[in-house]
Amino acid sequence: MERDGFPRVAELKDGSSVEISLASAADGPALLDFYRSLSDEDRLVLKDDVTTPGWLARFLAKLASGAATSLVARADGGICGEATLHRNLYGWSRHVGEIRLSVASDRRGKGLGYALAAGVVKLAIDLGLEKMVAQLVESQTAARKTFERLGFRQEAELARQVTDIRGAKRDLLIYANDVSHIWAAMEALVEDFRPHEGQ
Amino acid sequence: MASRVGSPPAVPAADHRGRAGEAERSERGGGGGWGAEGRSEPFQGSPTRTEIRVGGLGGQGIILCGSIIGKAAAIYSGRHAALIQAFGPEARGSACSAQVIVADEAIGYPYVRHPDILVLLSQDAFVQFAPQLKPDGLVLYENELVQVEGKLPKTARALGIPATRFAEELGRRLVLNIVMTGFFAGATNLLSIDAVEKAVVDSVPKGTESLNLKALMKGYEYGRGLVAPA
Repeated sequence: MERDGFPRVAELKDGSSVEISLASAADGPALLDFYRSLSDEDRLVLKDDVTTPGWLARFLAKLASGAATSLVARADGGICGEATLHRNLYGWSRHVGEIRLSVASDRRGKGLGYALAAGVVKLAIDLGLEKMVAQLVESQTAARKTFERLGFRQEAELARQVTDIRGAKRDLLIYANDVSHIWAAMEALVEDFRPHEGQ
Repeated sequence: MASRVGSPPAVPAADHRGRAGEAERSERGGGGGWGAEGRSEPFQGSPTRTEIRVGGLGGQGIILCGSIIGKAAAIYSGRHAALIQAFGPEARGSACSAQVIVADEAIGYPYVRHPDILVLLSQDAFVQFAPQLKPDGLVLYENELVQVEGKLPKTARALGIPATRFAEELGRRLVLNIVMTGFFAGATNLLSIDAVEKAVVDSVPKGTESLNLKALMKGYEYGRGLVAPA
């Protein structure tokens, strides 16, 4: 079923193509396979241990509740990339979404990360969110460039905030993209107060 | 402002209206209802001129709602439309209304005196405008903000929608007025949804189109659900 412009085919820089679609519970086993196929190096700074059934159960529960919206990229019969928008449905940060992004090593440098992240950014705006953040470490230079191309800027740096899967401490970079101006324009439009119109 | 764009409609005006009268009461929770006597006669507006009053409070997007209806008629349906807007001295919270006329001929008098259709988003607007409704008119109201009570002509009909809740569920209460615009399109069939969609895209800020179109379709489908033949 098509929704929010998905599924769609993304043409990558090397001429290959992938299908990007909204993730559903049916994608659970393939997602687990995808994350288990990543090397330790690739999973070094992922926020959660994404190789366990427990993680998958929590992830699918968030998908079902609307607290997560995910895009998956498929090629050659499997998942080769995933981007998720996490958000709090209630509370003081309900206007903020966090984007997490993973791409298979053999698909990197070809524009897939950008295509997935751009798709999630659009989903976030469509959901009415005003701000998006991405949590990165200093070594993720390609991801930092991808998010910068999408309008994200480094907003904070927290020293020794991250313990990677090898136990090393790393600095956490908070990248943010404030899109509240989009909704501010809509708020102005529905203000119903136009004393200068027609003058 | 009165505007006229394009050629006369290919389909007689009478074909654009009257579907609301085919409605049956919906079983959906919080849904609309009929007027006091449950009449279901076809919509009886003038064959060439339909008068619409959108009423609510400043900050609800009343004027944008009226503007989209007018644009859908004049720019995207080749008909005539006129819009008169009225708002109070405060930017938010004061009474606000839009008068919209959709016609198949040039509009000589752009004010609404006895509306065929009321689109209401506040109780004050209901109290103020309900007595002006034509005897066989139609009231479309936000049923969490407006209680329809005793001021309607006996042969008038009323359909409600929980538009605020729908807008919040979509992510932004701000699109309440677009849900109501979709409800208008679905419940009246006065304008094609295609024309209204184009008018919405043309009217809202870049980047907000997708959510606004979702809001439009939410209201439209709810409206169609209320008036669909059994």
